[in-house]
Amino acid sequence: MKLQQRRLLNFSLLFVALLIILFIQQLNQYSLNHSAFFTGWLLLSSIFLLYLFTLRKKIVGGKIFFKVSTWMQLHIYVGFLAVALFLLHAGWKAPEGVAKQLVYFIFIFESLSGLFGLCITRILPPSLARNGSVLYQDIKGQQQHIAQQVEQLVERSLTQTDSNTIATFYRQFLLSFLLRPRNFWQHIFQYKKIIYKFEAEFSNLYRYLNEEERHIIDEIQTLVIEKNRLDYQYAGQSLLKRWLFVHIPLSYALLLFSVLHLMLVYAYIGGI
Amino acid sequence: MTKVRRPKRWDNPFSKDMSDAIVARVLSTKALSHLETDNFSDGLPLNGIIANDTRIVHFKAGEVIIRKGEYGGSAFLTLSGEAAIIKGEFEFEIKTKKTTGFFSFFKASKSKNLLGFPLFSTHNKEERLTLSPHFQEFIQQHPDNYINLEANSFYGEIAALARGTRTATVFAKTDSEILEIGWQGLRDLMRYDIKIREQIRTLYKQHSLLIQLRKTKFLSHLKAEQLQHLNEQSLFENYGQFEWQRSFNALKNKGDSVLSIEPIIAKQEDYVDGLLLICSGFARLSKTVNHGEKTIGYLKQGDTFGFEELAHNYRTGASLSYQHSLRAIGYVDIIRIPTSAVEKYALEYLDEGDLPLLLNGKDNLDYGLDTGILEQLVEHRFINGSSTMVIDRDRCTGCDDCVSACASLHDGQARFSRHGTIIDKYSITHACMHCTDPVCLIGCPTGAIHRSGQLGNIIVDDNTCIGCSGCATSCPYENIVMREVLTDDGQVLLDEQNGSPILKASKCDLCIQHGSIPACEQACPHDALKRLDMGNIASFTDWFNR
Repeated sequence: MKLQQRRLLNFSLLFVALLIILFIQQLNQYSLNHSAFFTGWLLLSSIFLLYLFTLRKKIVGGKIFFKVSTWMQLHIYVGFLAVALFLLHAGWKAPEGVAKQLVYFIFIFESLSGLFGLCITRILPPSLARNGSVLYQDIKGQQQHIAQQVEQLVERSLTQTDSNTIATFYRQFLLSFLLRPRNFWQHIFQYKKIIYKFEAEFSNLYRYLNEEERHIIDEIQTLVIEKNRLDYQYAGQSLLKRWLFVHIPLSYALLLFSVLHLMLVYAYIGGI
Repeated sequence: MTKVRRPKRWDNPFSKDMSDAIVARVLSTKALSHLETDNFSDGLPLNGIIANDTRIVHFKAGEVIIRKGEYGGSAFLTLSGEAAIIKGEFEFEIKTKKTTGFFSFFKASKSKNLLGFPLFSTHNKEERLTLSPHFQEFIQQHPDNYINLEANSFYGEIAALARGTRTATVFAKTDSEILEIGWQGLRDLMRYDIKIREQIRTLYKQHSLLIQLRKTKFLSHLKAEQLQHLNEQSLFENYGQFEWQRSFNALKNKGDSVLSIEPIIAKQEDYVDGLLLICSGFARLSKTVNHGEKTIGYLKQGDTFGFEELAHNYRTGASLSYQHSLRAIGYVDIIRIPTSAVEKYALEYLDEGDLPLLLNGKDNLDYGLDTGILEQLVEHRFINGSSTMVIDRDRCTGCDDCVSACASLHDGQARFSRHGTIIDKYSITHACMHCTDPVCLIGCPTGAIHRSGQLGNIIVDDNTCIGCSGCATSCPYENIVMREVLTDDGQVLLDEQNGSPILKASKCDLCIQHGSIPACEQACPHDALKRLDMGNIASFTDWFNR
């Protein structure tokens, strides 16, 4: 099945599931039942189902349980369903009471982080793929190597050209840039101003250099462009890893507070 | 630091039962009696090869010696008794791939039953297969269904030399004593003895010719007599180098195109002098574009070249030349059946519906795959892989779940690197591809790196690997690495003589012990990683175009 066909099928199933839920909820309302119990239990079940994805990822090499990618699809679309259930259950307005508000806002942040994760896992990889290929663990090593190469070129300019123009330029514009990964958010938002700024600075400097210095600055410029490319890789790949540091702890918190919320609800209506 | 003796080639012989007396008896048989000890080197003495790289196996009447479809690297020689090849429609293939998926149980329970009774009885305690009593009776009543193997003649050499599957089922007609010669022994006997080398090569040609003619779809309906005529007029040719990885690696390191080392088998615009059948290996199909060659596909074992042109000319009376060029990728065995023979014995008996479309100047070949990708896959010879790890970089988030899954099943050490050759938006990673033509097997001194019998996965036996690095050097894709051996408490094992670390070859084993789908593919959350059989063009094209 092509990916587009799969997406269409999944959204269709989601749509049908939502229609069924809305229908049952309407029936509940007509029969004067408290529909919040229906949506609440469904929501809690969805949260458990979403959590099962984490458990499946921990099982390696089994013959059953389907592939993790199948579970991922389930996770995404049950996530969408959970958001719809949440809106049906809690409405658009924040509830009163600290306990309810806590679970309300945890759910919102968890959903937003999930949506954010989904977006970046679909948007960033193609962009990173077209920007060269480098393993995350190799980026810092490669950047250090570039910094060393630039430093050597600057030293060469001092000894060979008897001029400190390139060295001054290096100290003013390049040193801090080369020290570690830079411009994280500018890269994430594909903000091109950084590279334009460097191009302008190099261009300005060019007219004050002789032939020998120009050879050196050409080499430095190539290395700076490569460093900038690695910065982009670092920013993109970091974000693809780091968003989970928000999403996963929130999922545990959500699970915990949802169960607490359920216990409180049943305690107050005399169910426990 | 723990020090041990460095393992050696014959530490684990093929059989421990090969006493000096048995070795002497084996060497006195007609097929081997001409061998002269002096022709062999001191490091690889004749007696040593027979004692360590061969074994004697006793088969009862009806037991299967070789089963068609299974992978095997050894050759056989009947010492006593009689063996025969099953032929005709009964030489069916076993399932070479495990059935997978949710309904695998139901799929696996289906079995072929061509004659209304089971052909084989279940494995006995020695894991051997026996022809069922009904089948044995049937074969005896119909002698046309088997061919007796000549005494003192080798067999099983096709799979050994082509590094592929067994091409026929051989069974013991009477209680038999068989000498099984492991690939390492066969290779060294061929290397040091010209007579055995010539004998095996001649047999390989004769057997391949017959098998390939019978396997070719549009020749399969021909009568035995017509096939015999084709057989007599066919030529067996080979192109390229048996150990092609050497020139390929050298060229790859220089960064040159490999086209220059791919010998031309047939050239575009040349007169169609015959039909070519690919017996083993791969061949590149290309078309001239301006001053270059555009790859438009590749042929593998069982494919044919020139049939469209021959059929076109036969039907229209035209004299169309070859529409494409054919080049040997690595090492290729082909059968060339002259045009006159094809017209006389094959085309005349084919129905119009069985003939290909008439050629109208347009290319009938269209795999539906981007030609740039196809070109690169052929250029880098990734088409050799039966489980090539391909990562769709548009979907890969670099989460490394694949690497972690692999490591968790292999003592904390992943058996592949997520890095690899970039082709368009795909990455062909450094993971063993379980090649159709596994050149890594050729030089292994102990047979530690070998194919598993039924599935054909290339696996390394840690117990027999002596850490010579031969396979790692031979692998044209750099997918085998040498790793230090650690003790249970994490110490590096060292050679007691020189203190250097003891190494073993390490590579992907497709998680053969842990389930039907490799852990890497199973663990990928984004459907970015897939193990693709490059021999199945339709299947991998579907994935590339998903």
